[in-house]
Amino acid sequence: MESYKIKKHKHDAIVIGAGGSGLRATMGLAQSKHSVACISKVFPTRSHTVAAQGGISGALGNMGEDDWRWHMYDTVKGSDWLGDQDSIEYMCKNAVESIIELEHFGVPFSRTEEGKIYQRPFGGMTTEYGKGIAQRTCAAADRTGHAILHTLYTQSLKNDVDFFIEYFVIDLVYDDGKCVGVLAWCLDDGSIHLFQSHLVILATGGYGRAYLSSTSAHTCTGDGNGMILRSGLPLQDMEFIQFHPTGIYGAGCLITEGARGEGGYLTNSDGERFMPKYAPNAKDLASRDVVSRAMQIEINEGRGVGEDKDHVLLHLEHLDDEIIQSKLPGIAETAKIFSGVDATKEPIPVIPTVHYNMGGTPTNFNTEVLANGSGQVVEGLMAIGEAACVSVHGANRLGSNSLLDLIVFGRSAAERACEILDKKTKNHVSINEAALDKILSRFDKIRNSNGGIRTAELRDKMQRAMQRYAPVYRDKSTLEKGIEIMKDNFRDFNNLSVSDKSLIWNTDLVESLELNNLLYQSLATLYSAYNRTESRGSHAREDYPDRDDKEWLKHTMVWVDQDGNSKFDYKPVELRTLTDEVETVALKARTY
Amino acid sequence: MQISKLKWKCRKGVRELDILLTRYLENVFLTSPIIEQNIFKEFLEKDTYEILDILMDKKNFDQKYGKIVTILRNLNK
Ligand SMILES: Cc1cc2nc3c(=O)[nH]c(=O)nc-3n(C[C@H](O)[C@H](O)[C@H](O)COP(=O)(O)OP(=O)(O)OC[C@H]3O[C@@H](n4cnc5c(N)ncnc54)[C@H](O)[C@@H]3O)c2cc1C
Repeated sequence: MESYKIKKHKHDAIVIGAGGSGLRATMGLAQSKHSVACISKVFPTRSHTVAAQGGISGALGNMGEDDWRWHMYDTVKGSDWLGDQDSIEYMCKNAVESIIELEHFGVPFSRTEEGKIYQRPFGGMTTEYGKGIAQRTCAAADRTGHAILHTLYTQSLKNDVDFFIEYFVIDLVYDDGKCVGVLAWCLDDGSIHLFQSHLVILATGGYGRAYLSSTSAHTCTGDGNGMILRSGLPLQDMEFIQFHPTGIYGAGCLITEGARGEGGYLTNSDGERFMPKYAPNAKDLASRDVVSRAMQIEINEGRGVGEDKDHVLLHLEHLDDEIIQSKLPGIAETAKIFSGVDATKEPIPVIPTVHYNMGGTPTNFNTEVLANGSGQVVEGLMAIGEAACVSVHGANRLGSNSLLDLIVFGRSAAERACEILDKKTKNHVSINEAALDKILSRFDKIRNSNGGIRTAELRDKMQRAMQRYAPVYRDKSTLEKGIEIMKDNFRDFNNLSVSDKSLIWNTDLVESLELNNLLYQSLATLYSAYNRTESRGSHAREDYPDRDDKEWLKHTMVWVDQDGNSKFDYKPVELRTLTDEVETVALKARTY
Repeated sequence: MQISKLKWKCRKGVRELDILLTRYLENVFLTSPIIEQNIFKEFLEKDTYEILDILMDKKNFDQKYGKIVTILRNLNK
């Protein structure tokens, strides 16, 4: 192996990721006396959070009566009772304060005529425990994520943060089971860096790119989750992947749920508005998994539209042009560029598209990473945002609850980190050279791969396999086949061909490292989906159509080793709430 | 190396742009005259939503970007 020269840095805490969650945690830490570095492979405001358009939920009650307990009820029900009720209580209760705080930091939320923050309806959000439709989602026009990122980045710069931008974190560094830093590669000058710290906070986002049709940006490769599996730690609830009902057919680009919030609706090839059949009350505003499954049934039963009868139509053309332009800006143009349709005159072709990963790195509600199903904490390691599974979204996330998750748990991660750091001595451990060598030799091996398959080709094979064998509806035989193919893909990684051997701006190599992370997560998803023999939330098994609370009211913990083999453990769902301010939302069937 | 760096800069955090910009880079950029390549590099430096707004016809832009914008708008058809 080539000998790599390593530059060393020391901080109290390191945040990997500068999306909404990473920046919120960074900002919180920067306001303390502890030193913090934030490392990001892309420029912070190019993190995927920038894409979030619809908004952030919180029971502010600006458009009518609201209560965080109703929000909690909706979130538990949305999660199909797989969400942990202590974490959900924490999130919903802290939503209002966290959003007002964002407003004070400078996020330009849209306003009502009286000057309050405007709130719009969103799928699954109700009042009085399911009776009415809540207007609970706060938005900064159609670019809430953009506004949040810019605000948090500006605020972080005002404090003392060391940003390392366009640095790719390769792997986590451990000392005797404790996380003590990370090894990273500077894309711009090719140098290798060891960042030592008492705490590492993973905020590396989701892994949407594992699928062919997804709404995720190219950067969503879930690198942190890959690092976790390579560390011999488990991921949680990886079988739960949310499909957004309205991805543009053929491109994946998202038509926000706000479109249905403002009166848009879906039809099949008979011109029938089909959602009332599946969700008589919420209709087109039912939660995402319900709408996606309804669409898939329509398509499977031959009522899809188009040459291949493989998609359905979203209608906005009955809405005033004024509403489309003011409340849903950009949608008409997106439809035009990506499907050639004038949305003010004709319907948009849409299909359920991968949109969000409920699963990820397991944490307790303090955001500390868990080593197994019994809740043992990994010292020195925390996780937040879409990379984490805290678990507030359970088997299905409600739209606009993710930005809330980022902000609430980003904030609490910083608080918890400060508590831990306050008790630490300032000295860093001396790093075991063998641990670094192991990471570098993997890096070097991938860099010098001279096999027969190119990165883009193997990625395409993986994406097609995930699309085909882990779709909205799954069953034993498709999943079995998926696992077989994915194990081959996983092995094929050893036969990769990386043509560029340089270290400076070598995107071929970055994409290969990302692909390795995606392959680990794809296997984790397939294994977990195969293993869970029930249907719950986004995980719909054709061969096990019912929810099975007796057997499966538990979180999956899955390990994938370097040979692609799996191991499982389980963690009970936390049904107890955090305080006596709210009662447990009792189990019942989930209907809308 | 330069193409590789630009490929990274095409990651704007939003799928729509990632698709269009990468496609431009792979299919148009390489055969463009140097002057147009430089204009594209400048264009890439813009904020994610500034580019989206330009493509969505919601923002006036310097006419030197005209050709790139027209190509980008029609790349997916
Ligand atoms: C189109 C779209 C619209 C959405 N709209 C909404 C909405 O309206 N409301 C809502 O609540 N949710 C929405 N979501 C979901 C939400 O946007 C995401 O869940 C959320 O933004 C994820 O934020 P994050 O902080 O976890 O990660 P990200 O924003 O994805 O950031 C990840 C960060 O990690 C860094 N990183 C990753 N790997 C590495 C590495 N190896 N080395 C160094 N750095 C690394 C990246 O550079 C980046 O800074 C939407 C999602 C999509 C796809």
